[in-house]
Amino acid sequence: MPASFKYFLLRSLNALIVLIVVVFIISLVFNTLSDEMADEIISEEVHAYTMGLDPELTPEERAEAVREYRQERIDHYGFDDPIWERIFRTTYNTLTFDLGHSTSGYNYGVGDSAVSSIIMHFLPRTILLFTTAAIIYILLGIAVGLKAAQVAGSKLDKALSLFSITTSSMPMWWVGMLAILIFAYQLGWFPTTAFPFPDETGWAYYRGVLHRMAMPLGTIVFVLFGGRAWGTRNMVTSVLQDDYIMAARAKGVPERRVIYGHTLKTASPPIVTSAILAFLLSIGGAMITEIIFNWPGMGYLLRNALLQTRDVPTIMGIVFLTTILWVVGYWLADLLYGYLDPRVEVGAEKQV
Amino acid sequence: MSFRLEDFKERVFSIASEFKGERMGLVGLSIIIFILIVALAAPFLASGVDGGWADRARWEDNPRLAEPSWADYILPGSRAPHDIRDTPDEYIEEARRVTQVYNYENEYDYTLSDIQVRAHGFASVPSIADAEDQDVVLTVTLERPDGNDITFISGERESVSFPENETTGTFTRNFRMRSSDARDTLYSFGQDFHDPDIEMPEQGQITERSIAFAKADGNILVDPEPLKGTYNLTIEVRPTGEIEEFGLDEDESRVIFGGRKYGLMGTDYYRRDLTLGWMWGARWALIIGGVVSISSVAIALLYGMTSAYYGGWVDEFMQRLNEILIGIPMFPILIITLYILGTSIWIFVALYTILGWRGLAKIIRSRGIQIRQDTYVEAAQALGSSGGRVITRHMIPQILPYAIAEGALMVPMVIIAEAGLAVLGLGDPGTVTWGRMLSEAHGANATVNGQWWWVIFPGIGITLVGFAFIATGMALERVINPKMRQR
Amino acid sequence: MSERTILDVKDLTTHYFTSKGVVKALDDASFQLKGGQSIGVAGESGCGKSTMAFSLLRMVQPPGRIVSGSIKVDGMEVTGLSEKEARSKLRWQKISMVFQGAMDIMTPVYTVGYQMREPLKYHKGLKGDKAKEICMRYLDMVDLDPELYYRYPHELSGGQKQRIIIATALLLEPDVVILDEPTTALDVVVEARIMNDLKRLKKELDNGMIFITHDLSILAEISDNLAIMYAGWIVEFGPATKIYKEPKHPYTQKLIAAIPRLRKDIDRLEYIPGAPPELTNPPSGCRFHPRCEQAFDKCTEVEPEEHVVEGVRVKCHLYEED
Repeated sequence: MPASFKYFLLRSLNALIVLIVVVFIISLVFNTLSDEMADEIISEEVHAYTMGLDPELTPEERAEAVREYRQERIDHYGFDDPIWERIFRTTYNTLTFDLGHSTSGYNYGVGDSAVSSIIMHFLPRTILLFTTAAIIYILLGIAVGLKAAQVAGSKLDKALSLFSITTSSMPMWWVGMLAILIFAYQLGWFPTTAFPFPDETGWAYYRGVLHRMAMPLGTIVFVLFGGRAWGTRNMVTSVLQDDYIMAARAKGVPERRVIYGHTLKTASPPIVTSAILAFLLSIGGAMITEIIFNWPGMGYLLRNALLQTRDVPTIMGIVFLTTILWVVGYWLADLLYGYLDPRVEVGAEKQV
Repeated sequence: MSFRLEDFKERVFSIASEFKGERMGLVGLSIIIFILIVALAAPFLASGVDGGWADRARWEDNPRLAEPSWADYILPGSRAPHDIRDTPDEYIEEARRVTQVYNYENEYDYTLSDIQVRAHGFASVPSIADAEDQDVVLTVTLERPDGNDITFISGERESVSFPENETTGTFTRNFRMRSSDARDTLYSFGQDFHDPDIEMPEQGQITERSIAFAKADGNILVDPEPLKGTYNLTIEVRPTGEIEEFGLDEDESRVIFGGRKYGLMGTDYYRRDLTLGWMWGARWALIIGGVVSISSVAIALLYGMTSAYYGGWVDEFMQRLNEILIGIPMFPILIITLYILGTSIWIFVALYTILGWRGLAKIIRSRGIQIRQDTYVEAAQALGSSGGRVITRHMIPQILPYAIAEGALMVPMVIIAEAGLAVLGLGDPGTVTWGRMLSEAHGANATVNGQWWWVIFPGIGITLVGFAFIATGMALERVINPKMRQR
Repeated sequence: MSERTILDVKDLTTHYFTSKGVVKALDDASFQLKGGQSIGVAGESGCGKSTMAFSLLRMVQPPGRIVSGSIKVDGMEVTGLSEKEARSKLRWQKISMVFQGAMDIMTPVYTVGYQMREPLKYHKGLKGDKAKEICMRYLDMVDLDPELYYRYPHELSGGQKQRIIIATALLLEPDVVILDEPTTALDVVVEARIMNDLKRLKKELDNGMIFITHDLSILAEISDNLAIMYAGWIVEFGPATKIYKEPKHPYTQKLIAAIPRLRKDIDRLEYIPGAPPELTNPPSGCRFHPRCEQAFDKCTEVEPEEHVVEGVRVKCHLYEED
């Protein structure tokens, strides 16, 4: 249909603009304020180069080689170019996934110094942990929320309300710290650190990984499922109060169909889209939790890049990845909403 | 148009009276008031703690990693309290020797974490010519109830420093049971009693400080059992060379028996009183949460209402712009900017505010469109009120209670975000926030070492404030919008 | 017009047991409805009209419930039915209802066709083309383009939606159709057309209709009998023409005087001073006495009996025979 195609185009255009704007802002901040860092990057590279020079060279030859190399690096990064040119170039490079090379020196144990390779090394572990957790807490949240909505005002409903308020007030990684105190230190059920991964093969390896995953996984689910359940419950109860639900009941539609048909289908656009969004976005929010558990994923990489190696290209890469996830998440959620809710018209907001 | 103000007052009163029926809301409000009192008291009860958190000298007299003083009531065993002595129990002056004796009664299962001695004394010589290269000899001994004494410092020379052209000088000797010399002493003391049938543990595997107060049996190294009774710590000074008069200065000398419990919330690895830090944490939580949410709500109100009031292309433009802004992810921007601009808490507050109002502005605009259609807004327009006046006098008061509720719901997010950034090393080094305390706890492996109090209290602070604001905000929402109420 | 009694309500009492006390929303309501006839129910909001409608459908929401009385639909007692039986035997089969509020009355995510088919599916087991054919026939019957079958509710106007609801209510040819403010959300022209449709349909289908509205002028036109409700009571019941011409109960008198009449010049519109009472603690004696100009001592103390005067049932002390 042309109308839905127009909707698709408009949303995509919007997402693209946002992506460009954000990357531009990041590049701007990065380039205008990072002269000091530029020096740092160059110095480190020059230092590494000096180490590898032929010891037979005379001091003059050495100095000349170093000078040439320094200029070559400056040209390579374009640090001598006008600021605007640099900003646009960084924007362009980032948008074309040319994320540059890590300045960490040891590349976090990854063979390749390209930031994209380093990220691709750590990302799957984050996805392993978080995707599993997200699937569990989203499904659990929707199920519990539905149940609570059907018995609104009951003890279960009130308990859920209290639980969700409490868990939404807790930093997830703090709950992680408590989990380590209780289940690792006090009870000794799980290892206190997830890294290094077990030095085993086959079945034992996966068992070991699972054993290390249990606590962070449990923490994420514990902290996030209450809020999800409460949100679902609220969306469902607000639909349940609508007149068409009463009409459906009067028509003799069985209660099961009233709940899982009329109510859930009407409430599903916000539930599904927010689930998708949560799914994609919370990878950023879970980074600190990863750090607490020493889970060797993106959080670990970010912390090392920030605190140990001051590795700006890698930080930029992670920030860019998070941005992409966020923008793509929003874009997908928008499209999905338009698909699920027949009321959404081109260019219009949902009218409540 | 004073009657409008009356309407507004009446609305506030009716909201207040309905709020009284919201039990969760009242609980939330009481917590907020409690935290507010703590926050206001912080500069008085914990003055200088904020700036001096990283100042090691400030916390020297405190015990390291002491549990909260009420730990005895909820956990097994009894803990030695912290005990600072400024005067000795006995002071014996003999011809060529003075001795300070401190009695210590050990009746605890968890014995002292440390003994600190600051011996400060004076010595005088007959003439200025002699006021050079003069030493006193110092001995520090712990006399145990079983008669097995431990001599930590055995006749060590301590040089006396004389001010220019004076015959009376001073000497100082600081001692800690946690110092490596003292630990070696304790280890070798333990070795004397160690059961030869048990494998001798390495020094790194044991906690030496427990040995000083442990029963001298075969298990002293592997599983020290507390030895109860009266201990005497003696500090003995003998003169050498030309020194005639000498003594220990009672005002400046001090012995600290480092306890295992301290204050309401215990102490951390750096001997800091967590209670005092917690108070400042409360203060900063309210400051950052309050400033960010108030300013975000203000911006959102202005933006949303302006958009709703003018409509047309202004509205269209402002909504498109807002949509782009909403697409900007908060967390990465915070990380990169704080990393590059520096980790000041005010930069955090400014950034969060800049990005914090977007979503709320959207909701406020859609409500504003409804309000604009209200007859009296039209009437005010017809009477010739300017746009700004209609927005600030008529439209904003209508939506203010709702905006306040939303602002309350924003507070916990701000506090949690700040704490998370602190763990990433992007916290402000000049302030004490709960996030900083937790990040330090994480840095010192407090979880892995079971230092529960260091981990629990700052987190409880965050949770408590978050809970209070969410409960209050939700109750307010229910009062304002009765449709949300369930029966 | 058949003489078959399709609805017989006796002493129907429905209360809501809330935390603030018992809300006596409906007390001792009795009336009969014959095939091809219609009853108009009028009264201020909160007088128990909707409670009565929901009681007939056995859809009183907790904490409310039918306390006593009997409802016989086509000879079948329905107060004792289980929830399951009520759903399969009563609702929509015997009694259907057109709900108030046209905007919000259709599930936004289902097509018109889906929502119309539902009663056919759950009561008759009809699906597919057969169901579609029936639905389209009924859409045609209420003067709508059958192609609306494929549309979503948000693509329709309020009038169209209201007609669809009416068509849906008639689908199973129930004995009784309850119409709760069927036209309030619509403009006057559409309202008149729908009312005419309803009159025609009533004749064609020979079922009974109950109109609930606060607008007496519509009722006079469309209903055979009128029930005037006040604070949970039916205070007057009888032929519409009689009540309209010669109202007996002081409340009815006020209500009818308050109708603006186009053709007559009147000096001023009547209105009834005061507000309807809280039903948790209704006034003693006659519930209308605090607002009644003709009230006397007895009205404040004794609940009035129902008296039949000239074929009209009226619950008022004024008509007591000595």
